[in-house]
Amino acid sequence: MNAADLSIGESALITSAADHPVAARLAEMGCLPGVRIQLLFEAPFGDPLAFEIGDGYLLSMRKEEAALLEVVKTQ
Amino acid sequence: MNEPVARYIVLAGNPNTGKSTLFNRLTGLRQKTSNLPGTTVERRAGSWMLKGNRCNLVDLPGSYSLFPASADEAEVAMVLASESHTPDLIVYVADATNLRRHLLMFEEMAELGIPMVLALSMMDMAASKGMHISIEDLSLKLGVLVVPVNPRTGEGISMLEAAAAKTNSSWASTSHAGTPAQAMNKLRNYLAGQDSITPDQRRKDTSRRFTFIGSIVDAVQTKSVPVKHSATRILDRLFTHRIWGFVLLFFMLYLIFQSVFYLAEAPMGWIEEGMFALGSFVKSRLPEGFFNGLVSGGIIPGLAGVLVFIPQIALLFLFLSILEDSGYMPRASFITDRLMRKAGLNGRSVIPLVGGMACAIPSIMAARTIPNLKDRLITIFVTPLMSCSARLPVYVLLISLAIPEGFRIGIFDARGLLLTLIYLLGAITALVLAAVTSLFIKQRGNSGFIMELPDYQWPRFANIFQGMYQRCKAFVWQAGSIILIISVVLWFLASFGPGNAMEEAGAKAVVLATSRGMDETTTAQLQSAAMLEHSYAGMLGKTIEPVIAPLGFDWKTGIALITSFAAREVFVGTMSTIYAVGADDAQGIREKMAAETDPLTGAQLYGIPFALSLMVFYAFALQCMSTLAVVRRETGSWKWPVIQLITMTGLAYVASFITYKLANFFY
Repeated sequence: MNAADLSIGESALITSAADHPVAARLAEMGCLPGVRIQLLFEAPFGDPLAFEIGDGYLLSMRKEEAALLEVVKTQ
Repeated sequence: MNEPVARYIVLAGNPNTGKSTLFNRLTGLRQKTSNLPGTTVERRAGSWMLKGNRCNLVDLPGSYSLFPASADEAEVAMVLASESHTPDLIVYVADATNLRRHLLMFEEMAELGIPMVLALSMMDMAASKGMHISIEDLSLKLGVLVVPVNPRTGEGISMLEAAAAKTNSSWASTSHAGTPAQAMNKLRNYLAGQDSITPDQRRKDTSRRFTFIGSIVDAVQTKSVPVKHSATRILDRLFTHRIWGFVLLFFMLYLIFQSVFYLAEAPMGWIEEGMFALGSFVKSRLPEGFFNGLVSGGIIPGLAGVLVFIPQIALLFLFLSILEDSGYMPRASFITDRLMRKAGLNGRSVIPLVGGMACAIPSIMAARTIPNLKDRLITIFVTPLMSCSARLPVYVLLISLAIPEGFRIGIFDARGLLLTLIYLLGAITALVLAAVTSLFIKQRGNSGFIMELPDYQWPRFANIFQGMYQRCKAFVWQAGSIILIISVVLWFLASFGPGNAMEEAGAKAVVLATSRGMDETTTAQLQSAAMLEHSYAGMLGKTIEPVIAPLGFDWKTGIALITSFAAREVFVGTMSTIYAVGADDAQGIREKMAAETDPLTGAQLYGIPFALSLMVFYAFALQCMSTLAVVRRETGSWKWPVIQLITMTGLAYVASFITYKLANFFY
């Protein structure tokens, strides 16, 4: 599954990312394999999404961008 | 003898680190700091004294990586990769509460071999979250001097200065396998478009850097207690709510315009009275004649027309700065992204668009933070349609002409409501025009919305008031000087005419008035109107009258339209000057225009249809030289400003025409 499939409140670990310039950008913003992300809330109409990255900060991205991050759900 | 070359130092870091506040501290040169990612759109330079040596300090825009994702970030990468002007030192500001992410770009920069000093901000925040960072160990492991600083209090500044003075070579340890020269070449080639780095390669490099940073951070920082952003989370639940989010956004904007109208009322009255007192004083004290007329009839009324709007402009900037500084604006972008996308824009466009309600010029520059070129171009294109503070004086004057004071529609004050409507008209037109324009521009690259949502914070009022003062000062100096010149020129044009055409017209008017048995006041009014009509200014207005007559504008308005082409706020000053010429009474411009009647028919000249039509004209027309100049600079050609000028002026003409016809039909 990818990060766009998460429901609000769900946490996941990033496992890999697509070969895409946007994914490279997300990596520079801290979205790397092994990092925990949690979907905190979404904008009206469900897009864009706001994730907490690691145990640090809030990052927003569109659904299509979140879909570039492969994740596994934690518990 | 050659002057020793001053050291060239740059201040770099991610957005929201207190970098701009630190810059203010170091240079003493005041500048607005903001909570938004990347509002330091212009590179600000100041001098920084290091052990008695003057250094050039440049504040770079906040950015996340040397692989630029926006025009702002490209600028940072270009500055560092410059072959002729490589910085002598980078002072890198990092947020201690999120060291890993902040150190990524630090590593990218360290690999280039430019000497660096690391300033750690938010140490108090880190400590309150139970995080301890060993500065000595971090310094040893990174190979650079590390100084904890608090830009707000100035703590650690002298240490930072000592560290910066000492550092003139690079000893940074990095995970990069090659030499600094190789890293620099790679960056230069990448920026020049000669070397393509695959996204996968880029991610591998990022991963290598993060692994390196991780091992250092783990060794020097005690394990952090999971951070609770409870206040921010609660506020976000409200501000990003699917219904309340929008309700609050519109309510706040509505509240701003209402308060701008109400709170400014009293101080505006004081300024108005003060300027009239000054005018009468000058008139009575100076010897009767040419110079007296020029000062009391040309300069003072012209200036009064501008100065009176300082309270409103100051309030508008105050409210918008609070929204920006508190961290709210990224949320406004977040909730509107979907909507904006439909209009061919990006959620980030909200920041320039809302800012456009203060002034289009800094807002067009703020569009640099929009990563996608198409999104950015369209944002620049439509931002001048947002009603800026220079239009406010015109609206206020016209609204007071159209609607009597205290008139209410339901619970709403009709004047405030009309003002809100005219702002909405500009905003909606901007969105529609954006949607239309987006059909004609080709999409290049990815449009996206990867954006940090910083924690909310209490607005830093010291910074805000500083910024407010700067804006008002700039308004008075820029608008004031144009208006001063135009007032003087206009006074000449309105006071003199070819040959004795003015005297003849005046005499004819007196004859006409006497033949109709008019009283003294009406006769004088008719006479001065006839004289103005035959002055040079009157001839100018008369020339364009046929073009603007369908919109309901007479030749006097025509004069004001011509003079306000360079800057729209000149309109009120022009009207003040026109009416001060040949009038003695100490009435304000509002009363004068409202009382203006056709001396022969007695009908009110400037009624509701006129006021509405002219308001619509000012809402749409691009009457601002500075905007054209800044669009030319930001887009790199005259193509965009010219299209913009034609589109907006055409729109203004057509919309004004329709408004006038409709208003006449209903009124």
